[in-house]
Amino acid sequence: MWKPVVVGWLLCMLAPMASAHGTHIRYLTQDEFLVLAFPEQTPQLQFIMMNAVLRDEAAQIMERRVSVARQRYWRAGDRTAWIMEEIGKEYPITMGFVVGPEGIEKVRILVYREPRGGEVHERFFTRQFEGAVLANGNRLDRPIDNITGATLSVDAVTRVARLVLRLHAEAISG
Amino acid sequence: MKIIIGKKVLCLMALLGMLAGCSSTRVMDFEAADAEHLEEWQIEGRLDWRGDQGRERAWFRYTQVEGGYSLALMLKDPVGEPDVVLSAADLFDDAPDLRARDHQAAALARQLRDSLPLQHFAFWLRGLPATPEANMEYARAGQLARVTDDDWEIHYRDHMRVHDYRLPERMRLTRNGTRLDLEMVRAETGYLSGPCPRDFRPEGERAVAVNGTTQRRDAGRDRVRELVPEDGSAPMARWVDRDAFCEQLYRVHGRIPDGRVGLFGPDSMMWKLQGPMAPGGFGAGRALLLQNAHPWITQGIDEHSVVREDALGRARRTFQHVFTMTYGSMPQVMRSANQVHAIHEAIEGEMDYDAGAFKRGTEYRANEVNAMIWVHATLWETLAMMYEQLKGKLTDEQKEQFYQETKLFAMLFGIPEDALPQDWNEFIAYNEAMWASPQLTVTDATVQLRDDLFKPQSVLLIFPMWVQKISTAANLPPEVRDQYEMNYGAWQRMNYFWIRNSARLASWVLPARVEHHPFHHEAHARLEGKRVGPYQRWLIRTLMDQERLVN
Repeated sequence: MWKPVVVGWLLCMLAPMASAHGTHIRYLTQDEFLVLAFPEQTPQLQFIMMNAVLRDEAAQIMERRVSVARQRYWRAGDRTAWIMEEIGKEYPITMGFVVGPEGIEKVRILVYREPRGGEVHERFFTRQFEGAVLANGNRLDRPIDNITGATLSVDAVTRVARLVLRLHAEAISG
Repeated sequence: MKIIIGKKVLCLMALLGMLAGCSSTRVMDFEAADAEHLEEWQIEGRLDWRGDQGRERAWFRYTQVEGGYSLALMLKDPVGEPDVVLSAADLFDDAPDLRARDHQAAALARQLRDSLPLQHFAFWLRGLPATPEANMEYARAGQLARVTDDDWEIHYRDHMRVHDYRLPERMRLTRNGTRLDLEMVRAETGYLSGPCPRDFRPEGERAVAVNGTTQRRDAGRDRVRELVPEDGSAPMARWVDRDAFCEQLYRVHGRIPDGRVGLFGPDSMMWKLQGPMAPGGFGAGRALLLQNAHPWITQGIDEHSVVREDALGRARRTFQHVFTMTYGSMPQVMRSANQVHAIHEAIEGEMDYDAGAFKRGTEYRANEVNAMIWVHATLWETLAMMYEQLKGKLTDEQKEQFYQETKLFAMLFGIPEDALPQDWNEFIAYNEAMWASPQLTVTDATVQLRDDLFKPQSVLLIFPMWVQKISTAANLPPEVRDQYEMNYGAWQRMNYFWIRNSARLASWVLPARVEHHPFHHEAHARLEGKRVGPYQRWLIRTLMDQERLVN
């Protein structure tokens, strides 16, 4: 009678102390982002198959091994929307991109999971990507300003922006 | 009569306290990452197949890696060698190769291959649509409940949290009288094809270049004097860059025969010493104060850490990595090592003040070999000392085995094995030299950290923190204790006497199920292809805010 109650009491009292402050912040759901991308109607989901050539190119852009089999996107006319993830420091950042004929139209951070560096979701940062296109060597045609204390997150968003532009070209040409 | 009423009242109070405590537990704000972006992963579990030719049961292991997949089936032993493997180099290949041990296994594999769209499995197992036409239905809580895809109906019953992801735990696939039930046990979410995210070619036994210098490999080196120069100066800084880090991971990765076992395994001294909660728990304060006495550590914490605002959160994240590296499977260990290296990469700066061997304006970085060796040393020297105090003496051979095992742990941080003290005796000599060296200098900022460490953050922590303080004062080397101005007089000695003996008694009385922390049990469960029971799962969730850590 006594033992389970005492043990349960002790552990339950310890539970809130052990609970760390959560760090995951969701700014937008997938549906909200897609409404932002396609206000009239969300188009059907599509996939681009990542063949060996595309994977190699993606690996160069992402500066790591890429072995994903497909990339998911939504397309209406010559505009596409992509929801991607890339690790900043410890955890994946979920980000959304809308790409049109004039380059990147919108960048939004959907979920940020790191304890620090969340400034990448601010408009002053994401605005820098608007209108960006790929230049030689799959690089962006403009420099992206760093954010002190969020270098790895800035790099992650920038790399994914480059990949999305490359994949957009593939999706439109395919 | 009065006693019975008193007991009832106390019981009621305990129950109310329990409810109050539980009700104040934070709801997890976990936002699952998208399984669509999992590139290398593995899921293990049981399958129950019912088709035209009867019913078959087996354990399975589905792996997607480097654009291909394999489905291994084990008929008798969930963690044994597969009886049959279906594999394809391309994920979308629906005619995989079949390799079987015997006719029974081959027959089952052929049934699966002929009846199931194996090219869709990679997606359904993650709760994803395999085709753009798939119809997805979600339950109220936003969890995937049903998918209709390519004439198959898939019902999802439960989901499990694995690292950053939420993956299906139980699912049923049906079509035209064929039914496949899957119950998942565990999963890996990366680091299956290599220990680093980037491809890296280890160059065999070449000398490790760190910070532009090449390590000497002569046997007659005095590593203690290299790490703790006699003139009291700081040793030459050696930064660990990404390549040097990966080189060490490849060395570690190549040494481990079984990825499921991980770095150490049940026969290791590391598991033996880390298993019981008391030695690590009572030694935590000592190890932390020894680490913080290194001025770089204090400066790094002051400038880069959230310890002051969120001490428990930071401690939890630290121990998640320590326990994962000790008890995890190889993919889990490598994931943790890469995360820690990335965290350390961002920690750099300049000393704001003179502190012992470290002068104002000099550069510091978390990924520096000498500083990391010190942090590493405090952990293991403290653990061995506390284990001997609370659990029993270790033989010289056991200490040596333990020390050699800790070298693998050090290599997970990019520390070259060559830079470490070579054996237990040299390791102890290094620790003692450091205690007396100006490399350990307690500054005002360090004292502030000491005060923060022992400050109870709730009324319930007053006693545990007091015990921790007494234990720390009792076990710190006298020269470091004096720097911290911690008293260890008759009063503290008397208290430590009963604290230590109470801990010994508790350790003797408690069954291993309770005395050993849940990650120890979880690692054992992984080796058996099982999951831990509800009590251990609850403990893991309570302590780490995770559904599972090393399984």
